[in-house]
Amino acid sequence: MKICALASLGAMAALLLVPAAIFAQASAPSSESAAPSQKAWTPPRTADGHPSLEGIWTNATVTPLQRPKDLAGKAFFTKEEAAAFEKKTLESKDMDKVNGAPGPDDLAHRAYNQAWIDSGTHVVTTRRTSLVIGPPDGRIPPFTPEAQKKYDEAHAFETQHPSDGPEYRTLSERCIIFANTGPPMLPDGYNANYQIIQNKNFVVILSEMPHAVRTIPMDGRPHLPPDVRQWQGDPRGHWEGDTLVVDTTNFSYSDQSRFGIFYDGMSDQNLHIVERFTRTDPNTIMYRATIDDPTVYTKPWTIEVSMNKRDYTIYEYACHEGNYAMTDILSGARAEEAKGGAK
Amino acid sequence: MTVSAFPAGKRHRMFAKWNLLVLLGAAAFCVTVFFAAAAQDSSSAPKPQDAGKSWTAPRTPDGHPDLQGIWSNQTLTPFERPSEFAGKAFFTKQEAYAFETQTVKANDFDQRSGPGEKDAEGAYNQAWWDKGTHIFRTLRTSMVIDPPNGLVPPMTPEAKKKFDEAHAHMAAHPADGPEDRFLSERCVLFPTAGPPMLPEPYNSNYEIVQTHEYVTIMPEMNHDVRMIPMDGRPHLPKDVRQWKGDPRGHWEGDTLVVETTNFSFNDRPRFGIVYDGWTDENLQITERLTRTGPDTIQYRATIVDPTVYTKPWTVELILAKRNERIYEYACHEGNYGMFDILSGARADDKKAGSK
Repeated sequence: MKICALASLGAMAALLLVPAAIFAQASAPSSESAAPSQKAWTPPRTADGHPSLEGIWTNATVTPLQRPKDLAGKAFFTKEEAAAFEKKTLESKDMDKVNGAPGPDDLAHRAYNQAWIDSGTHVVTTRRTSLVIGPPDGRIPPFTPEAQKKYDEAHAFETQHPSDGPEYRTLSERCIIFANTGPPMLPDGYNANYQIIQNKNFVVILSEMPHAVRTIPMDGRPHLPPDVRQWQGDPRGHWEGDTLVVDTTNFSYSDQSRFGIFYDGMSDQNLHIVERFTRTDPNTIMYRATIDDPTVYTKPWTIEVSMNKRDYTIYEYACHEGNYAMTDILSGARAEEAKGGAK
Repeated sequence: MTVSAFPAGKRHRMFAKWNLLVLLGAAAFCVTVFFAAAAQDSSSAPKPQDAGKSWTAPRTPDGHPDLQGIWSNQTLTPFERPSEFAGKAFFTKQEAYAFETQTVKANDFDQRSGPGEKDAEGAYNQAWWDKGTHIFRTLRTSMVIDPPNGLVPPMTPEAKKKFDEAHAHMAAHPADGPEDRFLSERCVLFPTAGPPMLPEPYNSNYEIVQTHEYVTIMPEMNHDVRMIPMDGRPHLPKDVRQWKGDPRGHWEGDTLVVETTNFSFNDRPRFGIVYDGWTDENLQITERLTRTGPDTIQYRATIVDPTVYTKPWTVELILAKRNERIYEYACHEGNYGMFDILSGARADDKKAGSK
């Protein structure tokens, strides 16, 4: 049920974020522009001298993944603009708001109401207008022609066969991978919480949804052989100054997007993600991820999202447990087929 | 009703079947367990093995023993002491060898020794199993080390009554819905994660990472990490329940002690296929992890559940260093076991109704 609703949100997002909508690059700051923290703050250190990233963090935010068209050319909000944008977004996202006399579909949509949604109330601490910071126009680059063709075919197929079996549903509906876990670690509609612990040899990142852990070796071991594939890939970490850099390859892939409800893109076997975690102040880790998949995207792209300290406890996450959505989706589809066949 | 479809392919769906077979065999087993003569054998109160040697555990920067690495608790050691070893807490080396040889042979699923359903069991053949070929190097005859007879203590009369009722219900309603199936078939909880962390017939592998404030233990099967806070914080409020409970760790000398409460519960065993016992809301588990050699961690868990068991009981397992990697575990993914079990049950219902 939950996830079902998320899926339809995802479909709406897909309509809004058609990757063909590419604009001339705006004159915003490049992806290398620093976060606004030039203060004399030094991060706490672990026993081995590296910055401590430990704690509970959230990347929930109202900042859109891609820059909305009406903000073209504008990379940062002013404080006032940010406040106005937050207010407007929270109002428009309010699932409890019912205008006029809603139809049954409309009401069903709101079953996933404000009690569930926990997608933040603020833009990212940098006040950027999009999570995508490279290319500088804040938009994900176009697909290669071959990838565009495959994408269109896959989507045509999905439209025709939305629920032939569980494999036709999104990875998150199947409880396999959520955008929270990534990589890239993108906020989802709720449970965008993380716990990080670290020592000299490993960094461990637990994402609340779906209680998925990334154990990142820091000892310089080589990547797995190319034929070993995992949904979360095969991460290798190292320090560059005070920044934790995680290089991930060996991803499993399917026609389904790994970017969650915010972006209906795709990736393939060549996906390579480099993440950078930098403590920028007592309450913030600045997280960047560069997505490089040369057979899918015409150039690499980078997202940045602030992970904010949260006074919170992470509990067990239940995904399929007590969740009849998959059964209901599939049996609903079978019922529709039977109806169609009986015509 | 029997679950007749035996879907081919993935590990876990076979495992679902395996669990069921264990359940079917459980009645006789439980009678043996709970009404066996309570005479305690004279040997061996719990004692640390390998202790006393001049080996010191490697240390983390904060001075505690380093438990990190990849470990396995796979073993041929029986959970409870088989009746033929009553009074015998330890094998001799020769006895151990004979027991291992005999057990490996008996466990060989590639033997095609029977027709029909018996042969279908072989679909989960030796390519899947990874139970090891040895008992624990302590040479104990059971994982249960306390009570000293190597048997789980009897249930309280109230618990026994509930247990029998639950089993009668299970027999009558084996697959009305997913909730009627085992926690592991539902990918909710595996005994490898525990606690207590007990071996499964495969994937009994663990990765431990530790810092000053946390110890994390990731069992391979179900990729199910335990984050154990070491900072002395209090337990969660009583009404917050988790399948893996709410663990708190501290050091007692060179032993990591983990106390876990706040367990979720239902009337299915949390001990996996090794033991069809159960627990309730009063379950408390204390685990003790001690490095006893370069390649071993001694793992002990004491199970206290006064409304279920007439006294506490303790298991001891050895985590052996394993030069392996842990990969992602797929549980429901590509696994039609649950779907097939339930749709098979509905087909059986229909057949029964049309009689």
